[in-house]
Amino acid sequence: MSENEKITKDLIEYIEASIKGGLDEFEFTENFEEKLKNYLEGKIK
Amino acid sequence: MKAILNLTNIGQLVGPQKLEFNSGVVTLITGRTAAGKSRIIKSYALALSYPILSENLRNDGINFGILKSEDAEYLPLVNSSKESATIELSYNDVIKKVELLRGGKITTNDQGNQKFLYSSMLVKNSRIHNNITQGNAEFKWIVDEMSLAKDYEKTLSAINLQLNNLDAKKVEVKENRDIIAENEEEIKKQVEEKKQKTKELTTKQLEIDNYEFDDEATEKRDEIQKEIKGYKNDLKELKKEKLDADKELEYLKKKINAENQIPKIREELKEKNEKLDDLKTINVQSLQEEIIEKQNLRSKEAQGKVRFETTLELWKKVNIEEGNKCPLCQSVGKISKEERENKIEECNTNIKIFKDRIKDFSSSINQKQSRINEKKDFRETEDKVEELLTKVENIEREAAGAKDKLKPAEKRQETMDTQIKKNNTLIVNLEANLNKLKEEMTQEAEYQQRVNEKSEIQRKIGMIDEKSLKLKDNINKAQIVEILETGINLDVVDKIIEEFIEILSKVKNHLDLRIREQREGAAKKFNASIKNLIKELKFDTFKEIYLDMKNYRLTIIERNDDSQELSSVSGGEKAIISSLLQISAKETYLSDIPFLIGDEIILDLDPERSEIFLNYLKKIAKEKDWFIILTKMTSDDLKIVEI
Repeated sequence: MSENEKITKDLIEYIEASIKGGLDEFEFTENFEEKLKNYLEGKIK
Repeated sequence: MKAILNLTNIGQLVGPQKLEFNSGVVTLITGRTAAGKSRIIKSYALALSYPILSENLRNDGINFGILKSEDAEYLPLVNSSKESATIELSYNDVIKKVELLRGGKITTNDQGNQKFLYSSMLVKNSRIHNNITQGNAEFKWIVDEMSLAKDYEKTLSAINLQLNNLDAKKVEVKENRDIIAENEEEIKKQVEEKKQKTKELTTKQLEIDNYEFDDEATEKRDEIQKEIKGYKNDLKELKKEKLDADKELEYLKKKINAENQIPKIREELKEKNEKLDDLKTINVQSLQEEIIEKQNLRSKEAQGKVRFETTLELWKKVNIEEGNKCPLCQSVGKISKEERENKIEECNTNIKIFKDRIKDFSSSINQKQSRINEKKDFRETEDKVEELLTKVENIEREAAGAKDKLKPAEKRQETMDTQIKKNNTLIVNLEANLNKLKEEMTQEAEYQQRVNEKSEIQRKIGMIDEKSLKLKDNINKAQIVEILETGINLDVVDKIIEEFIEILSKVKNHLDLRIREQREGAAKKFNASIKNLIKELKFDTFKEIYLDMKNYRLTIIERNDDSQELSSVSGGEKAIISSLLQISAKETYLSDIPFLIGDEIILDLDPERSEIFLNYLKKIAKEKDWFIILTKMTSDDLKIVEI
């Protein structure tokens, strides 16, 4: 599995878990952006 | 199963009210207007749905009269004379206690389910009923609310936001590249310009190095100019003094020359003295006596003259022919012509003698009077003599004084002339030196001009450097694109953006799929429930009622297989469809909460249909052990009966 596939999988899992756990929209958006930011930083290192 | 509802200060109620309900049956709450029917079903609705977080459902809560609108002052459920109210609902092992403050605050000890508001409220102002009565076939909202599609939609919004941001970043990257290209082009121009200016600077420096001049010329010029100014001021003073000296000399000479008048004055003095001597000889008194004497004599002579003039007149009147009396002696006799002529002549001669004598006396009197008059000038002549003597004395004294001062004054004038001449010479010499210095200074001015030009070139080079730095700074800034607060270099940004778009697109596809699944799942369950209900109730008017799987619009198929638009369905049929959908929604989406609350919506149907629905409700109440509570308007007091 490529790195991007792993990221995709990770994001989908995070979304599914968030929805199953009762979605808090604000918390989700914040964490989602944080995740994207982490992936981004990982890519430019 | 028993449900106990304890209300305090709810609606018109002041104080507590305890109500008991049994499951497995349909309970009817009857009563007249304001008997308290609606406060019971509103209390159930609030206790079983609160907290209500969805914006749409909050509006439903406001419409039901259980939540406060933003512009309302108080919670509608709290008694207007009380500051707070409570709702306590217990059934099975569940105990729900809701506390309401008049200002709007609501707290609950147990979370309800906000979906209760549209899936367990069999009422006329429910969202389903409103959709149907308004002829609005759009029911996508119910599959979204009844599934996780809405949550997936929210996550999809976050993905779409990021995808939009990435698209915007692609534009920004392109713009940044354009900025870099423009700035690099400008830097090249600046480099060329700097080369040109550096050449100019070298040339200018060579020009500056070739200049030779007395670099103290300006200082010297200033000194000479100051000196010239000093001499000119001195010269001004000297000329002023010289003018004074000239005036003094002229004055002195005038005084000395005044001596020339002295002989003439002495001549006049001599005349005046002689006159004075003559006047001294005049005896006024004697002369006046002589005048009186002469005047007397003249009077006698005048009388003599008159006498002869009278005689003459008489003689002139004597008639020679007839003889006349003698005019003198009055003797009558003949008087000859000759005699008369002689007498006339004799008279004229005597008259003439008298006239001459009178004339002599008058002349003598006049002479004497004239002498007396001359005597009157004596004082004046004396004063004149005095004045002339003083004048001569003054002239002689002033001339003597002037002669004493003449030589020093002449010396002073000579000194002034010499000094003025000397000053003029100095000024001429200094001005000659000044002209020489001006030549030097022209050189220095030209030199300074070159130095200024050099400074200007250096300033321009400085500006070029500054501009180049700014352009480089622009390039450096444009090299970095910020994504999610992380600066990314242009070298890698395209790849990263594309990768993220690919990742997010895949996630988006997944979510689209999940949303579709959720909606389809919810719609299928809803459709199945409606289908079963129609079958169960044996309604032969409609063959099929369902939500289509594409747009989730309500589709009505009549018994003859014709599709019918909701808007064209009759009011009675709409009421049936509304009841069908509301009961189906309850069975499909919220069957785990054993309460179905309703108003007269079913009871108001035609008796046959009303009976069918009521029987069905009784059946499911028993089968599912639900509390089904309906209200009905009567003219009596509040009553709660199981039917």
